[in-house]
Amino acid sequence: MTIEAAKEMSRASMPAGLPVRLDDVSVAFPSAAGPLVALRNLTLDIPAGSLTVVIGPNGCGKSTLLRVIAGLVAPTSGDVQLGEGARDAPQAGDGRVGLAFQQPRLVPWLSTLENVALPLALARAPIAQRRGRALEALERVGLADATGLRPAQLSGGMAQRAGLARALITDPPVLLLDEPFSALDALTREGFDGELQSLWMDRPRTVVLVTHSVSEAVRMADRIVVMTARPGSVARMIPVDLPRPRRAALSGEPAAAAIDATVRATLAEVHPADLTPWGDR
Amino acid sequence: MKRLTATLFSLAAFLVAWKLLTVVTGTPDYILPAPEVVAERGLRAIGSGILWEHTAVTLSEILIGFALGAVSAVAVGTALGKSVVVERVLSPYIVAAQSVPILALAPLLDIWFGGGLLARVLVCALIVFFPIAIATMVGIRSADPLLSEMLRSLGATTGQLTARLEIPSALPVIFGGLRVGVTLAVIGAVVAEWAGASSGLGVLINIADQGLFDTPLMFVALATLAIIGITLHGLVVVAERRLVLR
Amino acid sequence: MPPRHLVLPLIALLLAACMPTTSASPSASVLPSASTAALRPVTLLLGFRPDVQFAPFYLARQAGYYAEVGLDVTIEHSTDVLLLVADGRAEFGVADATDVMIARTSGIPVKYISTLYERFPVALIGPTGSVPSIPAELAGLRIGTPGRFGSSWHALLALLDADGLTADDVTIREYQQFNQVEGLLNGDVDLITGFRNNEPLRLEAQGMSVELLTVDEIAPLPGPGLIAGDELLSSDPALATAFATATLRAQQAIAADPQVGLNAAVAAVPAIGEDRETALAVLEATIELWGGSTGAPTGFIDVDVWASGYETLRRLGFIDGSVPLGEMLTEVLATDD
Repeated sequence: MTIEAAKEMSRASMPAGLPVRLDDVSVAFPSAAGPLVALRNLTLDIPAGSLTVVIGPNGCGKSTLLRVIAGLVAPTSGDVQLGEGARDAPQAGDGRVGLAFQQPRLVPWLSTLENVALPLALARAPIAQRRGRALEALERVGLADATGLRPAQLSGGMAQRAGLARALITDPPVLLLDEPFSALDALTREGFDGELQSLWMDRPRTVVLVTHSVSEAVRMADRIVVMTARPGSVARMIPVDLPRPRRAALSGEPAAAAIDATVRATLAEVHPADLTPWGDR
Repeated sequence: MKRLTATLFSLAAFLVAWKLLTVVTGTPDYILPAPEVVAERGLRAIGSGILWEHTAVTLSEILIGFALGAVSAVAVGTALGKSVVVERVLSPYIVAAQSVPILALAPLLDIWFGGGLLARVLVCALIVFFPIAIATMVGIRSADPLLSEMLRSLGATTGQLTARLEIPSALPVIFGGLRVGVTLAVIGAVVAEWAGASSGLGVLINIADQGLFDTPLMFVALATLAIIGITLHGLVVVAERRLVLR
Repeated sequence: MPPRHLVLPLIALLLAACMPTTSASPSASVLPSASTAALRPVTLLLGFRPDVQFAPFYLARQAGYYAEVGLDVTIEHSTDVLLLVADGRAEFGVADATDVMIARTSGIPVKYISTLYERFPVALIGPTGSVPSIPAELAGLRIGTPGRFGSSWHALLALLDADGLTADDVTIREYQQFNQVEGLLNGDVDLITGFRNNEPLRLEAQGMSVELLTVDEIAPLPGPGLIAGDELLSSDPALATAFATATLRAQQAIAADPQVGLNAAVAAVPAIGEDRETALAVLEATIELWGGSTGAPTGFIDVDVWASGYETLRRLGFIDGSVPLGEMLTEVLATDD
């Protein structure tokens, strides 16, 4: 048995998250100038336990896509389902979906521990349970020493980790990340990507990561979904079959470089002129 | 410690200026009594029990009225802050009530509510209501929308959003309103007593001025009101430092 | 909220704002046009609001009585008449005799110089048939009064004291807005204190027939009069005599012909003219209080009534007797014999 096969088997025997299905989803927001269509006829199938990266420049609707999966925004038409069951629409706060934002979004007057425990507090879980699980979550992201600190006392990176710990505290089968590391410097970002990958490999779940960094997409994804300009839908789905664990220096290798080029070409095609994708920041 | 010294110095300067004023203008004690005359009269009033008798009445009007007004103002202010519809429906009445001078309303309240403690408590509650309600409304609306979205993504109910985000976000502004309110409550108590009361510091001012022609005693009552106002304001500031963690 | 170091100075402003004040009378004076330049300007302080009872002052101004004795009188209103006259901010004022006794004992340097009301104006008022004729029968009754100070309070306590009663023997109900008439009309109280030329007229107009219990026979008290400060009386007593004389002259003219007084009042305060009938009734009732036993106003200070009142107030604890009666008054009007 190869090492890869053994890893595959152990991965398959753990709960691997829920599949996410979007079927012909459109989302329009009312505005003074008429409805603003963020997503139009978007169909996407995300297999359980996979790590999908959604890429596209600002304004293409990728944040809206995440919010639809999280149950924060209801689709104007079409269907969203989490799971195999018949009618399994997303419901914000039911613990199936964890959401990490671009900003840490920590409550300033609560301690780091209380912030991470917040989802449990809202669900009125017993206090002892809240503390215990929050401590575990903080340990998992390497913030065990920061439990009593206030958000103002945390560095950017630490705060972002705390946000991630909060998203993971209910051990959700679906984890959504909205450009979680874009506010950090490139080196810290590469490190966090690696940590995220480890967390996911230790405990697999369905992950959807939104970014506008092509190299991050290639580093992280099982499949890369390139979105069209607004109104957003799927322009192209690019599978990434590179072996895991992947290292930061990946971009040099030929297989990775090829995928990188494909993604950039697709982006250039779909977002002409001034909407050329950014490089790494 | 620095704060205390600054306050004591300011108080000393004030007393010296007051004494100088009486000496330089030569005003008699029955027009503008010197500080030591007021102090001596105050000690006599404390000794005879008359000062505490009236202070206790006014203090209870202020405390109960302020509590009643503040609690209802925070509740109404929260509703105003959360719903534009509620604001549109209620604000004409609230602004109208605020615009009628309390000096005119107090006698009416005295007649409607039978001239007891209730009427005076209501005057105090009314006078503190507006500033605290508006402060609450503004504070509630200042809650960070990013945090609001985050909480909603965690499934927070409207009640949880109000209690866990909006009210704590609003606390600094609410405390600003409370500071203003607590000093207004002192004014409200005196105005209410002038409209209808048989005891209280406002009544003592009248009795001293019109009945006893004892101007130093009138100043004792005024000074007591000032001390009440300063103390209550200080208590609100202390509470603010404890409860508002930023 | 201002910074802490400003709070105390602001309180000083508040204290200063509470100092005794005056407000000018809304009535523009109608003075005789001739020789105002040679007249000595003088301020008269009256309490509360302009009223038909002040007709003598309005008449003395308009008919030139003050001008004839060399005075140019300005009328102002204030709630601190005694203090301001003592301090010299106004030359003359009208005050209750009982208040003068209390103020003088508190060290306020004013003196009562001439009687305006020979009869004490306050009485106990109630529906006909239910007013006791002796104070002892007041026990247990509910009595409405504006507050626990002033001549109404002094009169009530004096009446009770005459038969050995105190305020604890009755139920007092306070009407800070001076609306005790309503309390009597709707039965919240059995009796009220009031002014003989005011409340009874209002009650009769509302259809209630009333009776009075007065202090005159039971516990004599001196009525309101003119006051002046010690400093003025020692430096220019002739001024006080002139003013009191001219005022008395106007009082006598009105006692002889009330219409003259009414016209003068309406000329000074047009609002009075809106109900001339009521104003005339009040004025006629007032004239009766001026003259008292002698029938016509004389300005005479009855020292016997004063001595009796002084003793009563001392017994009731309003004054401590440290200032003798003689220092509280001085007769400025020339006496005939």
